[in-house]
Amino acid sequence: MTRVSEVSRPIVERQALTERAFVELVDMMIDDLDVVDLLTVLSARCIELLGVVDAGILLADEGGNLRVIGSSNEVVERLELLQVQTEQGPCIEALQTGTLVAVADLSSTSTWPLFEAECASAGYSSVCAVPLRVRDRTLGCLNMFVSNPEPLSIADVTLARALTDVATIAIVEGQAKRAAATREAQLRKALDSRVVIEQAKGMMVVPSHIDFDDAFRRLRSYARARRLGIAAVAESIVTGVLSVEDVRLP
Amino acid sequence: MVDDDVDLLEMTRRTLGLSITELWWRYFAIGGMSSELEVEAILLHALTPTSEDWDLLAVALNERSSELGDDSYSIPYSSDPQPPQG
Repeated sequence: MTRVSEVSRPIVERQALTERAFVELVDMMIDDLDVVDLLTVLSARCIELLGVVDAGILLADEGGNLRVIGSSNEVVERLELLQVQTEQGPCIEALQTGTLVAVADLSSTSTWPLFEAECASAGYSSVCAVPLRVRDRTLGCLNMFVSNPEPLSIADVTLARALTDVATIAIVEGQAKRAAATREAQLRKALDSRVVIEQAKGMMVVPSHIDFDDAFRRLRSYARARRLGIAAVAESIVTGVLSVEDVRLP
Repeated sequence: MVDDDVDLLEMTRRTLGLSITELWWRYFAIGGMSSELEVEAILLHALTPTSEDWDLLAVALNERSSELGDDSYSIPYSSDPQPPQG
């Protein structure tokens, strides 16, 4: 039996944690997805696996406005808000370009002076912003902060991208599910309305000796005179609240 | 229906802030049979509405106006008396 050597133990542990992180993110897609929970897990796992100190996430809402979600502490939340307010910073750039933005040593640049100054006072020397991107849509950005002025390794960046991609797919899938549910409810409501109007017309045709077009005209006229919806008038006829004889042309 | 009448439909839709999709759902819910694309074509003057389609679109828009507090039912139906010309 092969024993895990002391040297390889951290690698094996990291691999196990990585697998668990992916399973955890995919598992969250099964039921009703809570986007905040998902992104909180994403940032927590990135901190756990990649050796970054803190992480924060910006996500665009349905109106396109950026919201801070899943920051690991208040300092990061402030830094994320600062980027939204000033429209400057690695997250904003990653969102605009849809590409990863990494700065190994923030003290050596002056691209975003306010952001860099805030990072310095918070003890962050390096930053890596990974866009939450699927196809040509960028939904938000994961911002990771490192205390040492060193870049993340290629392996770490690759893993961060993979975790972020899974989270992004989960968000898009959740949005598609919600849109389908909304459409289904809309269709059910519209069909219910059509059915009740047809039923009411059917009830009017025989006793009033009129055709379906006339029945609709009567419904429309009655509804307009009383400032009611046609479906509501039809419902009243079908349920017997309103008599067919009451619905006449003026 | 003449072009000016169709303009009244489109102008009212815009004033009410209804998207074409939202208008189509309302039209469909009261018995409309045309597709959303055909409704859009009517509003763009690319299709001439039948009197049935006109009336259903007018009902959909008038009911939305009423929901928002305007009970004028400003879009006439095909069976309404025509205003005197000249």
